[in-house]
Amino acid sequence: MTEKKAPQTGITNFISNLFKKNITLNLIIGGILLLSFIFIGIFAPYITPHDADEMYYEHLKEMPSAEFLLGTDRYGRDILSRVILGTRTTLFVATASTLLALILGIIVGTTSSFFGGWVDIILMRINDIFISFPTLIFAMLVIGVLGPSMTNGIIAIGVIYAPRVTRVVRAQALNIVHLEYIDAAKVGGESSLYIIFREMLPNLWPTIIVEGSIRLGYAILLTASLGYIGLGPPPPTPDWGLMAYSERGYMFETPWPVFAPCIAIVIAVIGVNLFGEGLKDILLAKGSRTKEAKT
Amino acid sequence: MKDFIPFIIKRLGITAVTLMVISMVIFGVCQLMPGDAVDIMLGGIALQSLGDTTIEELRKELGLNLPVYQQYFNWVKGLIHGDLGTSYVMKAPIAPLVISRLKTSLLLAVPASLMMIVCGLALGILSAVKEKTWIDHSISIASLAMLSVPAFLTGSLFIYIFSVKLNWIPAAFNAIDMEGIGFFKLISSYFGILIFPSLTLAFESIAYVNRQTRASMIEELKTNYVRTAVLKGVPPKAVIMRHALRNGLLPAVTVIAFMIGQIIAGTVIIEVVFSYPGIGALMLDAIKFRDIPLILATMVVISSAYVFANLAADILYTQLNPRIKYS
Repeated sequence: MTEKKAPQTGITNFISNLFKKNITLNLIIGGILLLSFIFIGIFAPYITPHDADEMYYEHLKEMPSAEFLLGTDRYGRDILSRVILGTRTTLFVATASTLLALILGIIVGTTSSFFGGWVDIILMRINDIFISFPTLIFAMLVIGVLGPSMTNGIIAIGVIYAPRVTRVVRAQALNIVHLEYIDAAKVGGESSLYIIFREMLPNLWPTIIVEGSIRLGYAILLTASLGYIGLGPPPPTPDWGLMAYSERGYMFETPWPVFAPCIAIVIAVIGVNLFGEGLKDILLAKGSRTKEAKT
Repeated sequence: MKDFIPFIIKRLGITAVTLMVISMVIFGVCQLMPGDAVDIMLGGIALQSLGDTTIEELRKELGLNLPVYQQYFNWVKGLIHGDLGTSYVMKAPIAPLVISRLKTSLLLAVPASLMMIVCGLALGILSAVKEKTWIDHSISIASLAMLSVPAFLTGSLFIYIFSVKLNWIPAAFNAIDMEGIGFFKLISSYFGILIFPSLTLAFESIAYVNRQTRASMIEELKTNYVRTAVLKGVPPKAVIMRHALRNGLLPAVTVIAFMIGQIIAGTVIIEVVFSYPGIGALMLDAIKFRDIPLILATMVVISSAYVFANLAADILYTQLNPRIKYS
């Protein structure tokens, strides 16, 4: 075991002792960023300084000022308000698609490892084929055919990430499925469904949560990219990717409409990634139950 | 070595099945597209002025009256013969169009792959050798940032700095005439300009290759044989380059092959950012115009490139590492 212990400083040490868990600086910073994005997302309409769709015709393409903190776009709309409101669409699509991917991945991954044999072989072959599909291309195909909308974005991203979750869940479940308590449950005559969801799943949660946090970071980037190439929500919606794309022709006058949403994306992704790293230190650390099952 | 041939045959078989299923999925999903191909071809207004008989004739001509599986087989038959069909919107054969766009995309993807290999490996080796110094830390932070930044932000930054502020490169690359110029002529005359989209394309993969190289090199540098080499007085440079790198490169090579696939799939975003006329932009146009044959053709080309890159990654991994048993 060459488990690297995360560096501890004064404040993290204090908090770690308080909760009796290995809490790192990553987790704290990531958590704060993530919580603030959730807060902004929920209360977006109440904290925007201006109406996001209001066009101020006397303030077209302005640089940041006291009235418009991040400037205005080509229609005279307040960038800050649109970035704040854009938190909703991007984070909602990313979170919902990650959840969809996790649900599908958990179902297929646990079923596959529990039944084993030819069920496992067939499911994993299908899984491998879907993994060899480039994610962006698959999402473009699904959205292109079903039409760009938030629901279709969630379906596209969720379905293409599911096989990747499946692989991780199955690998971890294979370590558990041979343990004695599963055999005991089988002998005890419990149904397969009960064993999978009540006996196996609780031991898989740490893996699933960490995988979910990794997926969420990718999902935010993919959602934004789809918005950028025009396959996200349709134009009047304040979407980060879409804003960056539709204002790019006006960079000669003001770069803010392009870079403000981009910066929001980067902060969100960094926040999620840091939080994921921190969770990994807590959940998959040496001595936790799942790690024992592995050895 | 004697297991190698069956292994290759098996891998090729799996790849063939994968490609077949992928083509089926793409074809199947396109069948779900609302509206008929004739509808898309003619547009709503023309449709009303045409009689039912003309529409029926047109459908027959396109083979749309056949059952779906028959249409699929006809399409695959065409694919194998190099016939990608006719575009509904442009009303021209697709194959020459796709080939010329593929060439311009490769103009970005090939330099991007080279940059990924050179920069990724160099940074990885450097940060492994200088482990836990400020050099290592700054490279780590930089590669974390590279992974958190969407490609369109990097591209927009390049455009803002080098096009808007410095006026070195055009803001839209489709203004450059790429038709009729030879591949090498194009590279030599536009190298200074194409370097920016290529670098954007390479960014994410540089970070991945760097991280993988760093991890495997650090592990190698701690092994006994490296320590022996150092203790018997081999110069540090030779220890790193000749001893450690040979083994440390193994995992990196796999990542590199895999990342070439990512680079090919990633051209879509880069081509949109730089308004670059490549195959990714062509695919996006096809989707927006609902031009089904063109969607099918571009998607199959890009997905196959991705699948073959993964195949190469698999084969290289087993070939380079004799400890791996073929399975």
